[in-house]
Amino acid sequence: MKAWLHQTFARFAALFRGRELDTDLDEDLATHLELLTDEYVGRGMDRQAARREARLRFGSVVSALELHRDVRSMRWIEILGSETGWAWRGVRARGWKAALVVSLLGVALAANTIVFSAADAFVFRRAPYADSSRLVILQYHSPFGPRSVFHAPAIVEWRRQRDVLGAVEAHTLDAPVYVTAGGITDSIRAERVTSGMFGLLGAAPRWGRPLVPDDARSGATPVALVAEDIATRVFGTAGQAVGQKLETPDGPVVIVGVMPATFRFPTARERIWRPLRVEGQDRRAGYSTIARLAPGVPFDQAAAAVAQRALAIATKRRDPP
Amino acid sequence: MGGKLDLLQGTLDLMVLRTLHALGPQHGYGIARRVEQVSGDEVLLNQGTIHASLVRLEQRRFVKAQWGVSENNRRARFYSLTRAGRQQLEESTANWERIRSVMKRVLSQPAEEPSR
Repeated sequence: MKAWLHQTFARFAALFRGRELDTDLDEDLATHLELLTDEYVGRGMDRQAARREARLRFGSVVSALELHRDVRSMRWIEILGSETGWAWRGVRARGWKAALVVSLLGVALAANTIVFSAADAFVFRRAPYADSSRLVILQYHSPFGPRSVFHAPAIVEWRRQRDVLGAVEAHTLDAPVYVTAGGITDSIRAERVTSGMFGLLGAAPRWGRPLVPDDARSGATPVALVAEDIATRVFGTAGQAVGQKLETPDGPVVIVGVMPATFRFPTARERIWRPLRVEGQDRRAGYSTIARLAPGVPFDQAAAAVAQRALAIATKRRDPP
Repeated sequence: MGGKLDLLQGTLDLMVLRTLHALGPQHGYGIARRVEQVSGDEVLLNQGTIHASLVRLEQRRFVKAQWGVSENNRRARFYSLTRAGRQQLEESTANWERIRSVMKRVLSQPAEEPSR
């Protein structure tokens, strides 16, 4: 009880010391990573490889920071305060002032944009993707915390950074699909993915074909890939599912491929994947991204380049011609 | 057999307390390294999570932190057990031993012969 009271008081007090605690934590984590790097150097690695190994073993620095903040403080009060403050400023700054506020926000977002290695994140550390140590997630820090959702114009621009990012693909949650088998109806989570996503991950359907750019074209026949377990449950055997139709909230789709049962993306819960096109989309929708580092480019070099170009990209308003 | 073990909720705090009891004041890296070594590399530990455990223990006043200089000459926070921490370690250890004893009894009970 006493310990709980101490903790509650400390968490409340931390609300007013966020910056100071963050600075201390940054320094402490940097020391931790350096010591870990020294350990690998001591085992005979060069400094760059050692730093990379250290990051892998440490896990995501962003996650560590967030976890620390969640534990040490009352995050919901912090978030509520920030959101209310920004909303109030937005209301007061109607008209041309609103544009100024948005621009300032854009600068704030961009200045804090970072990329962190998917290999050091929880998702990819043990992910069954080809050469997963070269996969990265693009993420930025907004005033309200880390965000990994980008508007279409920014994604298009990130794709142009071929000297550091070999490929950039996007995905977003789709409406669930209800499938009925044996008289039982289940809600199955679906994900929209750009056509290059599975190629980027080094995954391919076991039956049928992968998604292609034309699948996402306006007016194209709606198609989907399904997981082997779903295909087997609904159609008896996975191979028979190819060419069959599946009812979705926005009409029937044709199954063009079946992914192996072991395949998972972005989590184990999504079992249906539908095409996504980001080119030509406006800023109303946001997408998560996964990129593969350009061949031969070390993670640190890519991270530095991404940070340097973030300002121009995050403030991009529309697709160039 | 199998991969690395995921830590059960709450066990990391106990490991940290026990490590500080065994080693004396340590920084986050030293604690994480020791936990990995003692576990025989069987525990799946993202070393970054150790800092969340440390702040939780510090807020509960089970450990106290002091800035010092690490072996690579960088500033680091060194954590040490408080009196409340030592008491907590004793209570948590006793509790864990009870759970272990109960689980051992439950898991070692023989299967009954099916009645005919």
